[in-house]
Amino acid sequence: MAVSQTASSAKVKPAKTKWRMETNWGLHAMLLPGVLITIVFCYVPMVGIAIAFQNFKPWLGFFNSPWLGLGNFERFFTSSSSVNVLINTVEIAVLKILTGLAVPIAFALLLNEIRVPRLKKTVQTMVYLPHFLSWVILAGILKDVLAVDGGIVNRMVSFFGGDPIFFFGDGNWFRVAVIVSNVWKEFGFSTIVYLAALTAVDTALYEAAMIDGAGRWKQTVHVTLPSIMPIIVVMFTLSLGNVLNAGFDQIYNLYTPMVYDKGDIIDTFVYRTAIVQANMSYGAAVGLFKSVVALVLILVSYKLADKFANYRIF
Amino acid sequence: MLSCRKLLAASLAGAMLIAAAGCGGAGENPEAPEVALTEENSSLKNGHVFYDPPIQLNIARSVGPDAKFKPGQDVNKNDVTDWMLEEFGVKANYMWTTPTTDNAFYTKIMLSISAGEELPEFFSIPGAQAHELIDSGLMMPIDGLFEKHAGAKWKNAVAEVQDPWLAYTREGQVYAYPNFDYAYEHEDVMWIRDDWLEAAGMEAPKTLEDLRAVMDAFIHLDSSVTGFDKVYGFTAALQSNYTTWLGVNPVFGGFGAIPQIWMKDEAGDIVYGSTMPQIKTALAEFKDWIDKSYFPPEVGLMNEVAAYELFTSGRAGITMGATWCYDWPLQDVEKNVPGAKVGAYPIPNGPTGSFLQSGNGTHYQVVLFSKASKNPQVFFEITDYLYDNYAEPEKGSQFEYGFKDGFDYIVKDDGTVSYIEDDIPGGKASVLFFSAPMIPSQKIAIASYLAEGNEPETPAQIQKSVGWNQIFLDAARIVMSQKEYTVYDLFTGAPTPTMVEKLADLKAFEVSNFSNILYGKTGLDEGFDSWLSYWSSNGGVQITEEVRQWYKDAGGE
Repeated sequence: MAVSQTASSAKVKPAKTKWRMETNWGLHAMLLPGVLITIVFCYVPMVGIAIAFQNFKPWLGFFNSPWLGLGNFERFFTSSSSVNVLINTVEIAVLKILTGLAVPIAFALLLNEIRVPRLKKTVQTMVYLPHFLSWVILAGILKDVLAVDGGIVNRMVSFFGGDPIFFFGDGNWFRVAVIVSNVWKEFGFSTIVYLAALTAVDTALYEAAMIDGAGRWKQTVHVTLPSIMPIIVVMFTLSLGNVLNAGFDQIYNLYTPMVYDKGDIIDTFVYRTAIVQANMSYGAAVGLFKSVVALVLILVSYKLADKFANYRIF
Repeated sequence: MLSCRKLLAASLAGAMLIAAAGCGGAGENPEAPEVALTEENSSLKNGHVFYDPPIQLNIARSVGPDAKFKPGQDVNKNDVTDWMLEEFGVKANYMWTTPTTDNAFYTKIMLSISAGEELPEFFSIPGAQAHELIDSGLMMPIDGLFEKHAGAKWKNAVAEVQDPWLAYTREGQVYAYPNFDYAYEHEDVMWIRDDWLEAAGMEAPKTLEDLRAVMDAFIHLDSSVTGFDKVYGFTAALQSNYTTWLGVNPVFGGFGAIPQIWMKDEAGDIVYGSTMPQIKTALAEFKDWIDKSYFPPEVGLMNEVAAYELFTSGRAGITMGATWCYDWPLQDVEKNVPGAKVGAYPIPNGPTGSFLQSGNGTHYQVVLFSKASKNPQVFFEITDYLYDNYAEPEKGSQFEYGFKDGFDYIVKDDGTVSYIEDDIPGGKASVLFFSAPMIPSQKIAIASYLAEGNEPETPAQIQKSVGWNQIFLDAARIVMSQKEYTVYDLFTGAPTPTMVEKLADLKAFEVSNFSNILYGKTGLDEGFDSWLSYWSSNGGVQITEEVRQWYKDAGGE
């Protein structure tokens, strides 16, 4: 998102060079509030990045707080948990990105095959409802559903003769719970995007494929998927920016010290070590690090998308 | 979602930027002139100070759901502010108020400081957040004011507290007045399902051995007694804070050490409790409790709410918690499960032959005084008056039944006094001055006096005992009898430099390591040794040195 804003406002400038006031002033005037808001709320506050290099104290302000150079970054990277936390973050985020991409596409393709419009609409609405629930509520529900003692999932496991699974006490099972619940909550929302893309596929292509003797599966592979590939690339590129965002809301509401080894991510770590202790500079430093990594990843994937899928987002 | 968060971050950063732009005033002028006490217009009235013409007091406070006003009154105009004006010639002007939630008050103070706005003359804030403000150099030392204005009753009350000023002393001067709480009321007693004890034909446990026997008997009770297929002996919050309420710190203490607090070892040196060898033995005990299902299987994940829910739903037989735990939340089990009965019992002795439990600190909030305050003495004058007249009122005096007729009590037509919400027209209001004058020992002393079958006689006894029940009185008597076993966290200062950098890391390792031991993921010896070596190689040694140095410098013995 950061990049899309950067890029869109960057595009304003070249447009200005060819600006024809007499014909287009109305359009430019409509653009102005957006540009101003972007500048005031996205660019001006970036000065605040300075506190990442300071030991910021509110009563000293920006100008009098002592400078630390890279001290805050050094503290993060030399902390004995930081490697573990970084690995957890990337692993959980990558799993979320991949499942968050594959499941909605598959589901959208399946849903697209349903011929009864009412059923299709109903299913579509049902699966995207969880998107609007907050993790605070869902965490309470999940803890109940996945409880060792009397949770519905573990009752089923016991019924089939398995040992109860300690979902929130075992790091690996914790990850499973996190990824699966995240997919369940979010896939409906992305599905809508792909469904919209599917309706835009030219039906003449299907007819041509059928005449060539392609069955349903062949049509999907050779017509549908290539047609929605640009959308998939866009969604993938945008989601790459989240590679260091493993989902604070979800993890914070679900984790306990028992799963720190597999479940503690940058955001929760910073929350405990910086925010709770009102150490704004440290928090800002880690936040800045995350943003820089996200920016680099998005730029790289954008170039790759341009090169291999011949698709430009901006 | 992403864009929302970014927008929020951006606007926050924007707010900080604006704040920084206007911050010159506070930053450049740290040396405020010596406070001139404006006492030239003060005279005496009823033996205490009276300002004529009245002075205005610019203060601020957080207003939570517990602050109730009479209809038509608000924070700036109510019976208490009227009383301050009439009795003392002090006009309370609340510059602003905040909710009590989400650190709103602290945030507002910090924003005021960055913006260089005028600070409230004095304000109340959690002690943990006060250190930063004290170290900012914007606060005023108060020991002189306290010495000058506090009378005998107030000084006696403060003298009950161990090391009252230690945490807020900087280079020999005290910078905060702690709002001392009632002592002992948060100390633990053991809560047991009496009906289960009876069904099992057992006595309340007096030692750890007894306790194990009782827990064993409880989990083998027939489901016709308990109403559940599976019940647990003991419920506790063991997630990450080992000294929380409804925790097991008295059981740890039975082995001779309390985790997560700074305490003295056998040699008299201050150490971090979790590193003491006794903790290892205690962990082995708790592991056994999990293995034998005395504890619920998820005990290592449970917070306080999960812990009491297991008790109130009728699925656990024992827990340890403060004197007020019967009133809330434990008595709910008697509503939820027919025939359930809860009783309070003394903490059983551990293998050491006695036990320790961690005290809850002497206070939560402190009052800080801005260096720019014009009338800081008013806080001390009014509080002293309240100690003399309100804390232990005389029969027939103004405050005999409470603050004011029709405010927090009502004298009914037949002459009886009622404290019931419905009897008071417009409802019961709560007193809104900074700190009610607390005599720390008062509440539990009265309760344990009444527990022996005495009737309340003095106005203080009658006022305090409104709404008390026999089970609370029992609990009060128990904590009074075991008060010498309470140990307090010896470190109450601002986090030391190494703590800021390393402690969160160390604590995360500590709790995840202990959980792994409890659940058998790592062996006891191996796990505890790795914790000790992690502690000493990741800053624990420096932190210990800093804590000892702080304690020495602050004047602890």
